Amino acid sequence: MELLSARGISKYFRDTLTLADDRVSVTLADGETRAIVGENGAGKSTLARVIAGLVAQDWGEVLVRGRRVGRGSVREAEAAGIGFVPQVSLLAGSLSVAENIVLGREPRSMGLFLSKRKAYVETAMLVERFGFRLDPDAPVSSLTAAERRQADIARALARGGEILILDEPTSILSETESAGLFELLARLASAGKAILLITHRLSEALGVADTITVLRDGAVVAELRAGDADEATLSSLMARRGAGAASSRGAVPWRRPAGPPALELRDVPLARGARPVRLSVRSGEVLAVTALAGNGLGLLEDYASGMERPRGGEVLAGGVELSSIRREGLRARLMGYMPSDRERRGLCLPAAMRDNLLALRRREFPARDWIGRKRRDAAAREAAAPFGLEADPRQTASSLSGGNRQRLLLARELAGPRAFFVLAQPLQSLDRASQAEAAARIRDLAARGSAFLLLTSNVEEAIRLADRALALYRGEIAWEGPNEGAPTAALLIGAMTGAVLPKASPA
Amino acid sequence: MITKSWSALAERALPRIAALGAAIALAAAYAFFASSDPREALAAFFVGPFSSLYSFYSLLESSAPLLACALGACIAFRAGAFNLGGEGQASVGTLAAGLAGGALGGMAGLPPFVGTAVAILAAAAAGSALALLSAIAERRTGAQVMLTSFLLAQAATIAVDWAVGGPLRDPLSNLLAMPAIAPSLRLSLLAPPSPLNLAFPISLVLAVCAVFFTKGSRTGSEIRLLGKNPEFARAIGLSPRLGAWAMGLSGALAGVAGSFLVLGQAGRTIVGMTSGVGWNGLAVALIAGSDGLGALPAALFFAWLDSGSRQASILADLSPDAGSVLKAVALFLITAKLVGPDPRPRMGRGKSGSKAEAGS
Repeated sequence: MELLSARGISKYFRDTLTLADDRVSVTLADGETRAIVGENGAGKSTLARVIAGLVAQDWGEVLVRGRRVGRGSVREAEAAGIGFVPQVSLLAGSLSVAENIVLGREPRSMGLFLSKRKAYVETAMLVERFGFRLDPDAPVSSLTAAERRQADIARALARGGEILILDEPTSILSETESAGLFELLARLASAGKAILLITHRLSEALGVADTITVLRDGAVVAELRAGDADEATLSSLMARRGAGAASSRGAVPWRRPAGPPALELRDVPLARGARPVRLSVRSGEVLAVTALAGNGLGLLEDYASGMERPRGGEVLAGGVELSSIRREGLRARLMGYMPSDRERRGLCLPAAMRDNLLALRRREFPARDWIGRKRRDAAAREAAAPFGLEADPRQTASSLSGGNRQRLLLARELAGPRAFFVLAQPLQSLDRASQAEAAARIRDLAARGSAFLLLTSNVEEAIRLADRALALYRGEIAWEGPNEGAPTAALLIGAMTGAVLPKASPA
Repeated sequence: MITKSWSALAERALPRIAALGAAIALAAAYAFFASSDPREALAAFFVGPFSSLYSFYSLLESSAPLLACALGACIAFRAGAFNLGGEGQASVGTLAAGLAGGALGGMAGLPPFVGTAVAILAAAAAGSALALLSAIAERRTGAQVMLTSFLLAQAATIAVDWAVGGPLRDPLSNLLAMPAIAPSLRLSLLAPPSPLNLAFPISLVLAVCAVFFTKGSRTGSEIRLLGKNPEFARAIGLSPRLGAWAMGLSGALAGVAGSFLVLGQAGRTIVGMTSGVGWNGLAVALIAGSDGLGALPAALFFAWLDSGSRQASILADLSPDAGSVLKAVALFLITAKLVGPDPRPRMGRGKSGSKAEAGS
């Protein structure tokens, strides 16, 4: 009988209207290490959290040695032997390692006080048995990221004991630290523990796991033995259905851009210890940068838009240091910018739709609020119409639907040609027709000489819009496409997930 | 359109009026129980300030510095900054006005109103400079304005008190105070013998200017946008100095309040003469919902409570602290729940990168 068996797990998130997991089944035997791989949003983390009892599934059941575990109950999951290591460590920094490990079920002396000695002994035994490199007495705040991860695992073992679930455990670790972690996992496996490793890094899955489950759009698309798989197969399995078809891009031809560089990043580091990034976008060119969350895309956005100054290197707009350009003129005339954080940075939710839409054209209208309201409303309607945004100019941005907020941003930022655009996921939350219109608009502006830097974790979007693509992995350029020929979805996903790829031929 | 804005105004004003009514009722109850002759105490408290033109004018006079401080607090609130330093900014205002007044008093041939204006502007500059320090500290180091403005103001108040009571003290006076300012430089009395002086009409003009500035100028509307969403303001390219502008103006108005105290009834800078005008101004601004026009009735209400409790303590045996208690109650009632979805200032202005970096 399997140690752990999750059957037909389904979870629907009402807030975001997404079916995170759709009848996913997964099993785990004693001593087995299984990796769950998939793109962002494939449903990996939700599955892990359901099994750990942190999220209550809508459908399906979790069994440990044939016995049912209560839905959405961490207590029952732990009692059944399931220990969970969350992606972000939840240890209390002011307590010692031992105190953290016994937190919530503290050994008492005389039935009343926390027995630090018992806690120490329990932790020391755990450390000894599995070869952790941890001092039980050290305060957690003094630990390095890698040691903290070890303490997380020790805590999960102490609470669960049989089954260990790790959600992206290496996301904050360096390459060598990750290697150390995997050695520890191997020791745990040989001691009979069963491990479920959630990761989007294919090399990790192939290196550590016995078996691999591939999730795509919330469903299991393949189960393989690690020995039978390689990165190329996994990448293509993870790629969304239809991504291959989209890469043909229909009638839009790929072409080599001829303009001068409009936006350049020279030797800008995007992660601690990572090789600095060099990239340039030429006028008339759409460059897509793809990366999964946590791989430097957010910082790239901050630097390229001038919202933050990079810690090293320089960002040049038309050959001029970006930070030396006056913000107001930059935004009004030179740069279109659609931030990934729409709610805080992209929109002013308590302000009227009109004021959001005309935020970059303030100088065209009288400064007095009470003069020219009709003119403003008319201008807002006129600006909104080509993007299919039908809303009262006076209603607040917070009352707009997600799709309409997106249309508002498109209408404001793609109003006309600019020297360059920085767009994060520009097609997000649009229906098919609006996506097509927005894509056409971007192509049109590029043809009129604007440069586009497109930041996305959605490979389809990159392939659909871009002339050229590159992938970031751990803050470094993992793969840079040539100027000719469309990158395939599998290739990009592979690069984003750290698969080792042949060098692209220099353009 | 007009009816709509009237009903919107009523919607904003009514809960405040209700809370003020509740505060008044509490005041009555307090006077009733705390005094041996409740009838006399109540009469003195509520009617006292209006019993003679003299006391009514006194009430108006004492509302002027309060209104100036409140306007300053309103502008900072609008920009999303919690300027807790009004007291200290007013305090350095009293020092600057006293110094300027002393220096100009001896100059022959200077038209009096020019001297007065220079003294007021000097106070504004001093208050503004103190507030700007906080704004600059925030831009340079990320230190929160709410903390630095408070700490700087505390330190400044102590320094001013030391200077006024020490090296700058008038050796001929029994008061811990600087020498008296030449009468020609003081704000002219409007209705002698009452203390009502030019400060009151000036504060009214400032209130109108403040409303025009926030609602009718480009900088003002940009400041409001900054207060609503600083991240958005940065992303659409508003000047990063905008917050400093608002703080500077806020401090300047507090400084002007200090000059009103010096150039008005007192005629000299006295140790501790601000006596809470900055904090009361903050309370008035909160009651007014950061609205310049609302600040006028709120300031008058506070001045009334002050003067009523003073009258009641003289004419009946009510404690002079009654006014402070009632001001606190009014502030509590209004800010606790009734302040609607106005732009209330945020506690901090966290810098944060894009959300894209967070979790998968």
